[in-house]
Amino acid sequence: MRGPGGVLYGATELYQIDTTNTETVLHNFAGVTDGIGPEGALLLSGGGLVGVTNFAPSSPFQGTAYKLDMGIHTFHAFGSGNDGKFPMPA
Amino acid sequence: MTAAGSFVYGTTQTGGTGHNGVVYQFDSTGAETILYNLTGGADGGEPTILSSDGVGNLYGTTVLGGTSTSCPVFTTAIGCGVVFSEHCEPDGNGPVHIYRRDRWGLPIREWYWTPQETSTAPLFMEAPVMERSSK
Repeated sequence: MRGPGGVLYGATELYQIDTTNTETVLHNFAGVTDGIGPEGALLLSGGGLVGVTNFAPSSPFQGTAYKLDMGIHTFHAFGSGNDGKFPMPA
Repeated sequence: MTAAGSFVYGTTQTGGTGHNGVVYQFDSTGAETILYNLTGGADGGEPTILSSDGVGNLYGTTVLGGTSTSCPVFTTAIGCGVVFSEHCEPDGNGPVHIYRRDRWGLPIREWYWTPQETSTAPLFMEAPVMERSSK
């Protein structure tokens, strides 16, 4: 997706491409607590970019939601209780 | 997954009380609220995409369930439950473009639906002006 200032963001690793087409890797998903398999576009919401991963190798294994602002913050791990499993990307 | 206001809305493929996926909302603090649990019956199961029309409605599609081999479309207010059908997707303001995709994401059947306005929400009636196969 295109974020503030015309910068492009995407995720397998999380990367940024600025207006001079220079790529910067912002985050590599280690799969311990931050999930693996980030998919789809990132959504601009609440001053950050929100995305999901489809799997998480640590419990409960069924996806995470994260926010990228001044750093990356995993704010929800799916699969505990009835909160759903395997979030679909944007 | 889609954003509207300060909220992010999305679906999960499985899980929830009906084990057929949920529609969820994250607020600005990251707190999750489950808006709807799909049952896998007439309301569908295994939701895929989720879209917002920007005026308070969510649109969704599912892989499973539904009441017809054609493709019922749905819209309802955010927070009031969402009804899903097969792979359907609103396509701008005109007739709704509906498709079924194969495992590689390629459309294999397509329909176009015509909006029917009601007093509460736009509904869509099937207008099978096109059905084709790409494979």
